Amino acid sequence: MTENPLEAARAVEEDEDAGPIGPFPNWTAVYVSVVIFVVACIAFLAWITVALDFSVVS
Amino acid sequence: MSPIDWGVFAVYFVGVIWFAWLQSRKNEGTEGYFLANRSLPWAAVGLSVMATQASAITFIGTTGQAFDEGMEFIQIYLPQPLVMILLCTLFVPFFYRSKVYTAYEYLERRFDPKTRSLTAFLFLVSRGLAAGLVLYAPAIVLSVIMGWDETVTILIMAAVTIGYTLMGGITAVIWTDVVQMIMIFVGMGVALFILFTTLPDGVGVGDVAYIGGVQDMWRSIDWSWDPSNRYTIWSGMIGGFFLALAYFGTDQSQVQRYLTASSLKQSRLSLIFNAFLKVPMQFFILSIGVLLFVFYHFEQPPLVFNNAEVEQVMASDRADDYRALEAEQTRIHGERREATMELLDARESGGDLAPLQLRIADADEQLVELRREAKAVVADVRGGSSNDVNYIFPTYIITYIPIGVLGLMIAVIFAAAMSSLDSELTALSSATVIDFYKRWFRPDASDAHYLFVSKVSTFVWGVLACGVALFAGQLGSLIEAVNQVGSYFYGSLLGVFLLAFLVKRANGHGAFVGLIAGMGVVFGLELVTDIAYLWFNVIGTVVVLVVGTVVSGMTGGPDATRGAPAVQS
Repeated sequence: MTENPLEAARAVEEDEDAGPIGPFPNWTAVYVSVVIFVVACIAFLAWITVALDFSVVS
Repeated sequence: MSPIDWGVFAVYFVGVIWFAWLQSRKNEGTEGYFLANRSLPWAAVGLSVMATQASAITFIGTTGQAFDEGMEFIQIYLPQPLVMILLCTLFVPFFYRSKVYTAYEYLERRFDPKTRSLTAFLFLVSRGLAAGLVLYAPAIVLSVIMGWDETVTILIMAAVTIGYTLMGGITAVIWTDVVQMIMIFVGMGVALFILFTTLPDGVGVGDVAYIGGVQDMWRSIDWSWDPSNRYTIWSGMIGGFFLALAYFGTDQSQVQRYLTASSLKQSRLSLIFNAFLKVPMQFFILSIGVLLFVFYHFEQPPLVFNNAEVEQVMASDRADDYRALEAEQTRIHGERREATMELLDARESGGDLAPLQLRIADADEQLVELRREAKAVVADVRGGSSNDVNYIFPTYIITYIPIGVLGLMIAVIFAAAMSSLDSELTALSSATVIDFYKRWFRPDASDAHYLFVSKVSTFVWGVLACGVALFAGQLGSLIEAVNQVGSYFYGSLLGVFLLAFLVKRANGHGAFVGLIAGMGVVFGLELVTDIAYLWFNVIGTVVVLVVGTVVSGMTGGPDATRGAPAVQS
């Protein structure tokens, strides 16, 4: 390997990854949706922790 | 098992072998055997990544853990989607573009041969032992629950897996993983459905959620900062992040999966697929455990789920003590069942819930104490600790699941074990051949020669895994100890790769010394502190990055060792 791998990786990204990824316009949108998914999971689990705590005795 | 169950089980085995044979004709040469000629679609790679991570113990141990401790284990999986983003943006482009066969091969290009060899060696030792435990753990459970011979179970599981891995290389492995993963999903769905159908008449989904909630079993997030607390949102999000990044980013059994994708885009998609599927999957597996907990409010569970341990106690002079504990459990369980039914009635009619919840909590406390005392009796008789967490779900399926479905569930346990073992065999073989044999012994042989050696290596690792599995019972705590030590250097391995990717001036000396320092610090902390193990991954990574950077600076920077140019532009 004689070239800078990061630059090469970027070149590959530009060549192969250009254009929409399924319903997403680009990879950035995909990654943002993953972050939103994680936040939603934590929110859901935090809600379950509170909402499904039916104990009325301490 | 009934003939129908045996039939279902046989269909699984014949189907897997036939399917693997179909796929085996697509391989060409060493690149075909190890990387499927970089031709696979994202969905297949993604399911294989998931199947490799989910062993039989994931399926049966995690349900048992939720039965005992509730949903809190889910927190360790929450950062995995974020890890997938980092893999997609940092790790995968480097590996994929470098056209390497193994993750460690990249480290020689970036650093030097000694760093590559040490990391590959650590992988071989830890993963080689883990492959044995992947076979041993479900075999011992099935031998106790089903009465099957442990040796025969291990040999059948290993022989079929080695056979199709040898026959079709990674192409067969990945496509059988796809089938096995789909079976696991179906098995989870069926288990949930059966659990609901075996509840008493009139007890519905709302009641299940309610009873679990009364006992605080749905508590999924713990916001406390106590570092000795095993599972909190912080240890999960930070420690779990580093653990998952180390596993998916540096373990050849995972790196090899996404190197088989037909393009960088397909490789990334396979990981994003995992990002969205893993957390819901673990949620459902843990929910099965909580459902089991609720189910056993209505049906009396065994005091200790490992029947082999109970039989040992019954044959000892502590049998009367154990019987007394069982009698007490029957009495208290009856009281709890009655209080639970009254609570459900009171909830519907608007009655006073507090006294009934107090009765349940009181009974529960007594049952937990009885279980602890029973385990102490077992430990006393056996001369070692008792842990029956892996037997809880299998005990349920053997006792309550209808004919035909039992065969499916046993096949699912086999599928989970085999889909992990096959990936580990191809990964072990690739690291052995590419990082040692080709690198140090025969660098200029023909591709046909390497393919032959790769198959021999796969077979030898399969036999070694069998050997570890067959003798694991005798080696006992030694195996556990070595396996645990293996988990201590994950963070340090990650540190080396991050040093390669992110630190422009890092060199081979820095990486090598950093790796040794990272492992040493983590091992020392384990001996003298009670820090939860998840934090060791963070500490190991940070130590390697700091020591590696400092030593690199002291030893002349990036040109001091042979390797590729610095990677940061």
